[in-house]
Amino acid sequence: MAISLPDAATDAGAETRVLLAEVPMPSAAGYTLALAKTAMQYMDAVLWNRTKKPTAYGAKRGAGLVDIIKAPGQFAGFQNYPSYSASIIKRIQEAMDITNAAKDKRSAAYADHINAAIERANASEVDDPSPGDLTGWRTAGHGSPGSGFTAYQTVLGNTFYWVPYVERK
Amino acid sequence: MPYRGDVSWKPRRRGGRPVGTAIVVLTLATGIACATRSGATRGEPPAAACPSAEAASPDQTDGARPFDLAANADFAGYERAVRNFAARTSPGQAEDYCVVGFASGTDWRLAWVLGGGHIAVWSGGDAEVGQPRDLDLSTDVVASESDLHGSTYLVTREWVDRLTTGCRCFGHPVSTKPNAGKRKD
Repeated sequence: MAISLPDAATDAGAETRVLLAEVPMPSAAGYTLALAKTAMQYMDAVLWNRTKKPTAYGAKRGAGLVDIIKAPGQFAGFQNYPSYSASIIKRIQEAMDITNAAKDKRSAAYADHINAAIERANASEVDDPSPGDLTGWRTAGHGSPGSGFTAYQTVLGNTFYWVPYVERK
Repeated sequence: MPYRGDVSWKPRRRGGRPVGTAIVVLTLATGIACATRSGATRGEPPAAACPSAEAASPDQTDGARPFDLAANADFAGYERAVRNFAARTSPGQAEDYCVVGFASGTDWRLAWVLGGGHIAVWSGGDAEVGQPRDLDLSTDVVASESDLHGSTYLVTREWVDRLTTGCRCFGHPVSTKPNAGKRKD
């Protein structure tokens, strides 16, 4: 059965697209599904943790997940979501095409990858193993996202950062 | 599994207000060449001296060092990867690109492609250059770390300068000029 992405107008739809844009696809060197799932888990934590203190990340007080994703300068290509970068749209569409092409030998790996993103975006719990709140990631080697962030772990070429735990108000 | 609260804290409100971000338009937005390692040409500022491999990381804190793309099976196809990237982002245009690899122990290994007004990450293998990161130098560079505000992708001008120097000193040039590599008899 063909795989389709969640409705773009939902939180899960927006998050799925961010995860597919930011986590390297199965064609990348060093890729494993387990690492991709870990990267998605951490990104999910970053996105939701930011809703606890949105003003620190360019969104207004009380911002929801989509507002966090749209915050200026925060997530490349998503500032005008649900309209988003043409290159990301193309990349995701190519991944979907591979997934749904039964004769493509890459199909199974891409299906697993996309399903992992959908599952994580629909997860009801934030799974944050850091000492505080994961609130940022950067492509490895790109430096810190600002002062106050501590590097946690690098997974599939993305370095994740945490800040001291903040209670939800 | 740590659980940080009730799922009901996933609110649905919308309507964020844009927050200004200092964007620096670099004069090198039209391209970064690393075809020479000898420094400046006439009329240009002198190129920064080459750092040691140990000090070449653009981040400066991650201990990353340049590695030889050609000697690594996952990255040896860098020239084709760059040409595909150029065909996608600057079709039909002659550009001088530079590509450099950095690795931090066993934590990560990535290559950066500089040119055509972009800095794009390449994860090696059959991955596309630019997935997941393709920076537009005219919009994605800020003056300093205090302008990042937690951004997942914006970079500082200093980082760009260090990477540019690292590529000039340790990277490989790739030209997409139509006649590149052909003799002029």
